[in-house]
Formats: sequence, C-alpha cells, structure tokens
Amino acid sequence: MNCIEVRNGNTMERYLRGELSEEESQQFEEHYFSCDDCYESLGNLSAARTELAKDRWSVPEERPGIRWVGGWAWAWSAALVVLVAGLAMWWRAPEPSGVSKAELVELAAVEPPPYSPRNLRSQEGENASGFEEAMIPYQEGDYQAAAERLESVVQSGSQDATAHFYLGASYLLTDRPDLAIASLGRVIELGEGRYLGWARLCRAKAHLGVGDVEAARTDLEAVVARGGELATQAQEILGQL
Amino acid sequence: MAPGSPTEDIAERIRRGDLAAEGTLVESYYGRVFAMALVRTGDRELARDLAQEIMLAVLCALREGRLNDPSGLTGYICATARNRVSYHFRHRKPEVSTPLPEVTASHLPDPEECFQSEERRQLVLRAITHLRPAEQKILRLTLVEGLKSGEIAERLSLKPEVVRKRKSRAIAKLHEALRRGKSRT
Repeated sequence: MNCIEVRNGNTMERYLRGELSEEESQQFEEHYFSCDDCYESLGNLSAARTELAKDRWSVPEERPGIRWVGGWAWAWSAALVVLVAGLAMWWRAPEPSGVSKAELVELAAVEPPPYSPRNLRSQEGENASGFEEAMIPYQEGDYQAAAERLESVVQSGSQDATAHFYLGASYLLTDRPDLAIASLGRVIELGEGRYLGWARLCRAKAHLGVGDVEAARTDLEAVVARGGELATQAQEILGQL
Repeated sequence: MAPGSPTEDIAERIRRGDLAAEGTLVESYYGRVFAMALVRTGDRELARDLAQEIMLAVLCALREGRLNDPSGLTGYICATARNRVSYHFRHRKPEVSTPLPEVTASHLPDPEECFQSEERRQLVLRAITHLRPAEQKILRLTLVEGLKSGEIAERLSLKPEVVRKRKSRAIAKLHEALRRGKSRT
C-alpha cells in the first residue's frame, strides 16, 4: 500500500471506523508505521473524529412528525412555515440570470484537471523541479499543499503557464475562487494554448463560485468557440445558466 | 524516525544500552502503537495499557538483542503490536513478560499524548470551527456516523458527487489548517 492508494481508497476513514478487512488493516498499519505523512494525517482525522463526536457538532435528526401541543403551536408553526418558505424561495429563487443559488453551487463544483508529469529538459531548470515537487501533492489529492508549493514556484518569477494553471486549479479545489480567478487569468494572459481551454473552463467555475454568472458565461462561450472536448462540457453548463 | 531513518543504528544503540536511543524509538513509534491498539480495541484505557506493554516488550527485546534483522525494526514493532492486541482478544489478560530493571512504565510518556497531543486537539477544534456548517455536517456524518457519500447525499438532499467533493475539501482544509498551525508553533 502506498500514500496514493491510501488516499484514493478512503483508507484512513475506513480504518478509523473499523471498516477495513483484516488484510487491508494490516497493509495500512504497515504503511503508516513507516510513513510519517500518513501517520500525521491519521492523527488529524482521528482527532477530528473525536471532536466531531461531541454533542456541540451534532446534526439534528429528522423528526417523524409534528406534535401539536395547543393553540399557540398553530400560530408558531404557521409563522415557521412562512419563514421557511421565504428562505426556500430566497435560496431557490433565480438570480437575474435565471439560476438559483443552489444551482450555482452545483455548477461551480469542479473535477481536478488531469496532470501528467512532463519532460523536465524543456522547462526552466530550478523552477521545473520545484514545479514537479509541487505536483506530487496535487496528484495525491492534497490541493492545499499543492497550492502552497505552487505559490512558491510562481512567486519565484516563473512565467510558466502550467504552474499558474495548476495553482489556479488548486485554489479552486480548495474553495478559494477569488484567488483561482486571478491565477487562471494569468494563464489566459500568458496565452499558452495547451491550457487556455482548461483555464477558461476553470475560471468559469470560479466565477460561478462567487456568483458572477455573466463572467462565467463569457468564459464558457470562449471555451465553446475553441471547440473540442471541453466545449461539450462548457456547452452543457451554458445550457443550465 | 520512520522513513529513511537509521533504524538499524537505533536497534544497535539500544542493544548497547543507549537510553537516548530508547527515547527516540518511543517518540517515533509509541503513538503509532497506541493508534493501532485504539482502532482495534475501541477502548482508550485498554489501548493505553496495551501500548505500554507493547513498547516495553519491544524495548526488552531490543536490549536483549533479540531482533535478528535490525533493518526490519519498523515491521517488527508493527507485528509485535498486532500480535499483542490479538493475544488480548484471545485471552483477555496481560501477557506475561519480564521487565528489565531500568525499563519501567514510569519512563514512558502517555501514548495518547504521543498520538494526539493537546496542541493538535486545539488546532483541530479551531480548524473545525472554521469549516462551513455544511462541511462540518458532512465530516461528522462521515467520520462519526460512518455514512457513505450516497447516504449523506440522501440525507442532505445533495448529489453524491457534491458530497464527495465537499468532504475531500473539508479534509484538505483540516490538514492544511493543522499543517499551518504546527508550523507557527
């Protein structure tokens, strides 16, 4: 078992809940006895599990029915219904663009853009190795760590669109759409053809994440105009806006 | 000490009676042993007792030079821990061992503190507080109630894919907050 298998298989959560088979448990134990990163993550998750088990974080259960206790209950219940209906209408109400807030949240969800390690000889020496190191956590799904390392690469003055692109993607995947918009905008400025479509698609998602439907629409239309596989995705999202 | 560390050197130093090497070993593995015992027994107090016994047994074995291949130290500790926990379930009693005079339980720290220090607990609390309510809810349903993404999706009226993404974001935020918190201290 290696770190990637641990992460992809939700192994830690399942281990903590006692859901792994004996064989899987043994493999994972052998792994975290020799892997500091996974042991550290296991400790974090275990501590979070202990904390979240406390009452203060409890999720209210659905009640099977409403118990009527008297005349005032009707008045309070009616007021509650009006309030809930109002909130629901606000949440579901279309924005000027015709898309509700709930739908925007769904449309803004993003899949990690794929990454394949590249040929270092064609890159900028020191920055190239820094970039490849930064992409290790990205490939393992640790987008926070990837963003942190990619920030260093970009801050060292790299004009490499790839680094800016994956930094933007990492921001997006860690729920920081404002930062994502800035980084992905840099990719578009640099005009690197390989990432233009992805940068626009991701930036559109980031715009949706901050509720800017018009800006998202502009990026999506640009993706559609470029054609290709991403155009289909962009077209589908446009169809829902 | 785990990856890339001179475990052979540690085992040899302990065999020669180097107490500092014992401290290094305890620091590296005691928390791991406790984690295994805790997950396998689900009982903190029992896990503490078992972790202590296991660590003492390992230290005794190393002092007596009973580890044939010092490069297999990590695997040896892991296997010893697993066997000891299994022994508990088979016999429900402490395993008989002969403690060395200098090696006593009082020399060992609290294993739970090695695994989850108070500092880590505080950082986790702060990190959870900073998560969005929906993320807190999803994490709780996942880690505490053991629900699958599909079940959580049904309960919260979301798509399973959305639940999966929010969960992985929440976990990533948690790890990041802890990493940052630790680097500040």
